[in-house]
Amino acid sequence: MPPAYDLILQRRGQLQTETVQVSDAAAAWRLGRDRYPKCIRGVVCRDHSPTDAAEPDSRS
Amino acid sequence: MELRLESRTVNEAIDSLAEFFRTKQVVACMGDRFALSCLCLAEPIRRSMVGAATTEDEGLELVLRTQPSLLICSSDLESGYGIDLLKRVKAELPTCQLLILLVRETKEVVQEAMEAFADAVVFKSSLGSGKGDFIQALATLAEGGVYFPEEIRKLGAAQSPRPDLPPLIEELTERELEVVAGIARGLTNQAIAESLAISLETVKTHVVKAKDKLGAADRTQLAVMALLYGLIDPLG
Repeated sequence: MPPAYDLILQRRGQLQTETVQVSDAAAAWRLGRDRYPKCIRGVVCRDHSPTDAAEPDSRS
Repeated sequence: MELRLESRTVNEAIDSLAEFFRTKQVVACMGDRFALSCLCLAEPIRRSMVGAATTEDEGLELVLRTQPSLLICSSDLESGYGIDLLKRVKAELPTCQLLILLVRETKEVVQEAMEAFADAVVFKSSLGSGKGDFIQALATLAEGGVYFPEEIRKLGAAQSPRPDLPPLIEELTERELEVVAGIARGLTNQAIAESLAISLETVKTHVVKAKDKLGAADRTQLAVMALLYGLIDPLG
């Protein structure tokens, strides 16, 4: 399954998110710009792998 | 002005862009024929160049005909206006990444470029200054991000969407802000570590501290809070 990305969208002064599953960050940006060209403010790769887990490795 | 051409960092970045350009088709549109010719002949862009033009209408026609993945454009053209070309290209080919070189360094022009959905904005005056903005812009586009150097972010930054938020108890450090900006660009921790030349564990530590300072539960909330506080540029 492709990784999940949250698109951060600004609508009527509010920030909202929408989750999409695409191959990489570039694809997420492309999708965001295509669907929401006036709203896209950011793209976040969700915590989907040990590499992206925020907590530092307890072994270190 | 004597151009600063010898920069090891910039030269290394140029080398690393070779792979990016192997998969790209590039159209360039500039009013200065000599600069345009030089760009078209320069490595590593040369082999990716599918067309070049000096006017807005010719540029659009080239884009429609060749369907490039990247348009490099200057605001000054022989006829027409570079930012208008960006708007027209975005309407016709939204997947095309847009890099624009601006001649005028005013708030109005920068905001106009951002509103045209430029993926990267660079001042022409920064070329040859040793800052490496043009190369960094290409490197950021290669990662799928958007690039606005600090002076452009300051000029083009919109107001924080929520100026009524309570003040932060503890400010984020510069490094933490860089990490959060990377998260909001869609980068993984590993990619952030590589872009900042720090370890993965250090990135994770910065993420944890930034989350604590902003009261965020996860990466997405962290990016959203940073945007709400205006700590990172809405498009950067």
